[in-house]
Amino acid sequence: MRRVFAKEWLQGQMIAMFGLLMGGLVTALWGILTVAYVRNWTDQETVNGFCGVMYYLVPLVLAAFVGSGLFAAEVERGTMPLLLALPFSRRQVWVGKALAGLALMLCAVVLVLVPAVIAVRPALEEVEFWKLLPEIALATVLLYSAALFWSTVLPTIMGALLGAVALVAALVVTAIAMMVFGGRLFGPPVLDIELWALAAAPGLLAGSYVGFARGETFRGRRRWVLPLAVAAALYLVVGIAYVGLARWGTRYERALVHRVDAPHVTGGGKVVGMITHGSPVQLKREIETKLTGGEGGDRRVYSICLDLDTRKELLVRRDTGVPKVSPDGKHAVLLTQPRPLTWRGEAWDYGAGPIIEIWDLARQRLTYRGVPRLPRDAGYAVLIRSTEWSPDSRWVVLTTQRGPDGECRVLLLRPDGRVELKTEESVGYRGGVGRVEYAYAPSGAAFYVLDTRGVLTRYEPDGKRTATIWSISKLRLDPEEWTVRAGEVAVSPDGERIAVDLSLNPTRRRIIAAGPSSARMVVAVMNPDGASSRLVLNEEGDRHRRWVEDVKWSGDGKALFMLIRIGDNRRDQDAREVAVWRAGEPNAPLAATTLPAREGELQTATLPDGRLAVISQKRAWIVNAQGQKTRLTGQVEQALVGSSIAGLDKQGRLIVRRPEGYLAAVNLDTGQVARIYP
Amino acid sequence: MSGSIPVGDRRGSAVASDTNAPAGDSGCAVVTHGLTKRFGRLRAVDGANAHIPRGAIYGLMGPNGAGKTTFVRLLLNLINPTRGTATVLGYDVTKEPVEVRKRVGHVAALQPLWDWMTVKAFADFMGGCYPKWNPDAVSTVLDRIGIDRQATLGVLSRGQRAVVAIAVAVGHEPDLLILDEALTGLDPIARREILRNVIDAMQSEGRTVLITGQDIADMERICDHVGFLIKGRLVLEATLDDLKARVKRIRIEHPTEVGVPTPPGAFQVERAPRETIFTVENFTDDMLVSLDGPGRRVTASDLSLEDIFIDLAQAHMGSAPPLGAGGKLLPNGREA
Repeated sequence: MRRVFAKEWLQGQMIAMFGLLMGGLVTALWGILTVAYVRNWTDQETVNGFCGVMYYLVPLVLAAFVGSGLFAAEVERGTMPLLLALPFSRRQVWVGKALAGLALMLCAVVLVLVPAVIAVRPALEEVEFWKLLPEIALATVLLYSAALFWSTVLPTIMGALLGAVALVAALVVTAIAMMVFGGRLFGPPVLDIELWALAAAPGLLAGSYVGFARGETFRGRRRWVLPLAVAAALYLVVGIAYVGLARWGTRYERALVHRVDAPHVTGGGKVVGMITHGSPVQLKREIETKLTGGEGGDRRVYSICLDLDTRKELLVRRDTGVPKVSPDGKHAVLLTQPRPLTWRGEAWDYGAGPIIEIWDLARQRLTYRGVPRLPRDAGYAVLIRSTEWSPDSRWVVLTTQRGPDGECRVLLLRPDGRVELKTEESVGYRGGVGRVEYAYAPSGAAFYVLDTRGVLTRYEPDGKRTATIWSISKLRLDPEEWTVRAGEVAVSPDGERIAVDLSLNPTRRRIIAAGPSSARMVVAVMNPDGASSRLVLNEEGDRHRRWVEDVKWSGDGKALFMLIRIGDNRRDQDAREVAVWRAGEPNAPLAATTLPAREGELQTATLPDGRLAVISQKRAWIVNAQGQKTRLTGQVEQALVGSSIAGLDKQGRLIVRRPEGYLAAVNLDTGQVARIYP
Repeated sequence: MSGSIPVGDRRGSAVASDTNAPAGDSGCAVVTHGLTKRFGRLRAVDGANAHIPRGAIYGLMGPNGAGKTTFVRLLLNLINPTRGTATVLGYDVTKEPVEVRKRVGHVAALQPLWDWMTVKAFADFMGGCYPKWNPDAVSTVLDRIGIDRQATLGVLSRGQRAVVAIAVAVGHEPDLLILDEALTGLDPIARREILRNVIDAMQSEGRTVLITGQDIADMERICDHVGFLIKGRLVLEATLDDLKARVKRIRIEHPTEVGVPTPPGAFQVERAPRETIFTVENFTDDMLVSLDGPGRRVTASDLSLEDIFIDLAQAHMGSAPPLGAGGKLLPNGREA
């Protein structure tokens, strides 16, 4: 083996010289390009980029050349019998050659890169050359293994070279396919490719060894069949093991979930959609942390639809948004990021906005995936801004935007992906002004869109726009003098009243015309055709500015609860009040109850009996339609404080996310807490 | 042949013994039993039973494609046999190929060498591969032919490279030297030098030489044993003297066109109106008496090795089946 190694080493000195020549050529080219840069013929980025890429190629080219020549060259030149007639076993010959090739390749790479570091270090640092070195080293070993494999199978150097390139291409395609069609083991796909390469390289080396040690080198089908069979078997085993490992690594286990987020109960209290954060098993977490240098474990985010009755997951998706379950509990819509396209040094550039996925929960089948586009969207990126289910679960209503600053439209999407309705005209422009809000009448008889100009439009379920039923001009305000930030559109449970809340800020023109003026908060209530509208709240800014944080109709539709923040924009530290407008006494002054300051984020939920539950980080209250608050105490308060509300289940219990991170059902009468998930 | 390690001195020149070897194998450098190599449907070597005695100069002859090179490669375990066994210098070639190669020098026809090496580097490299090495043996051959040690192998002529290959093949003083058509391409002077200095030296030291090739004149001059390999079958194996004594041509001249009975052991017959010629194996004087008759003239003549080879090859490669039967010289490659 030592003698074979020595012979290969002597022979390979020429290859090392070839490598040096390549390195010299690249450096010389860099010099020429630098001259071109000095003379303003090209820019520095091009020069340095070229330099980096060329140096990356050197080890790869050397690996392919060294590996493919080790055995095929002996066969091609007819010296194989001479070598095999020496008093060495085939194993010794193979090991000697493989080691010599590896050593040669490494030496050649070092010989090329060391002068490169000395000569063009600033340029290499500019393109962050060193960051990709581990990947290049892995690719080099893979290419060397592939070249060595084909070198023992094919009788010509060129054949071995082509075989190596083809095999590496196949591996990359396989890795990408695994990435796209599932089986991703780790977060960044590059790690999957690297692991695949790590698994493939030993397989190729083993195939090469078996092919040479057991084969006959000269004639016979065994020379082809045996190594190929071994390689195929190895690939099969490695592939199955890899997919198994990937599945094991990405399996969803309730026991591994350590917290849930953004739960939302729908489907008549039957299904909850939420995000869960999983903790991978210890070994994988350690590997991932090492490979990524970060906290690998916390990046497992799943979208879950949970059946509250059976406590079974109806849908488990990874790395998608909060699933929105249809009111009938049969479908879920979620937004997912498309597969990453390019690696930008430290992060993946996703290139496009989210994609809609609609899932049939009963059959666990994807019914639609994509972004609905209108004919006039050709050539533009279409971004999904928001999604909502219609009360009858027939449609997903979504707003899309053409480009980041383009026009917004409302589309109705059937669960199977058919676009039923599209508002051809623009319903507003983003441009930093505000967002489009919309809401359905609970009966599904209509839906209302409040656009960024403060115009409320009613649409019939069949897709016909009926009328503009309200706009800020009814406030006798000049739209040119105010910019609108739409707050919420809330339709009462009986569908008879629509509440909108807006914040208005003076434009420059207003300030010039009327002098300095602060913002205004407006809450208006109107009937479905907009014929009768009433200003419920019209607060002009004063010493204490007011912000409407939440607008909710009581369960019986008789009262409108408004959560108003009073203060100077210190958000969670400000005091709040709950103001109540009663439909039966439309002209009566608002009944209001003040909540203390420094309570943190507030959560509200309307209860079936017409009251409002308000939960802070420290306390919990029930506010009735008369604007009277009752502080909850004892076990009930303990159960609610710090929780966020997901909704009510079929038994009327409040489903909350506890501060500890789990989902629980709270009985508001007894304060009994039942842990639901995980 | 079980291939078990022979008892006694494994490396010495003493005759290796193999307890499982058939009688008569113990004095052999090479013994094969039913050695077969198939490449798909082609039987390159077909059940060869060879016995090459130690110290012999053994010429393995055969037409093109007869399987000579395959046979040699099987002996060195460069390829694995499909069936059968081969023992070289007491070692089973499939189980202990390295031990065999340590003791065997091998030169193939027009063997390409590592052209980037100099003659000296090549000799040094080969010297490092073997446990024992005699540089003088190499130098003797190189000096006699006048090869520059500093010359790169790539610039040498084909014949010179063959000489270098032969020179390094005897460097480790092999117990068996295999020259697989290795003299091809050598000029007459170089050929004579090789035959005189290399092969004679091997013979004088009691070592074995296996030569394959088609230059039967050379074979006849230097070999003491011969084997004929035809279509993969070892159809004949004998000492040269024995072969010449037992294979004769019998000419019968008869005045009338009468049928002459074929004598036993005849494997080639030529019939003319007034003359019939038989080539027979196992010739005895009694044959002449039995073939004699009224008006007939029966004479027996010696055959050259080339004649024997041609007659035997024609008998086996022609459509007519061989006529002879019985004895060690059976033209079917199997012992009776």
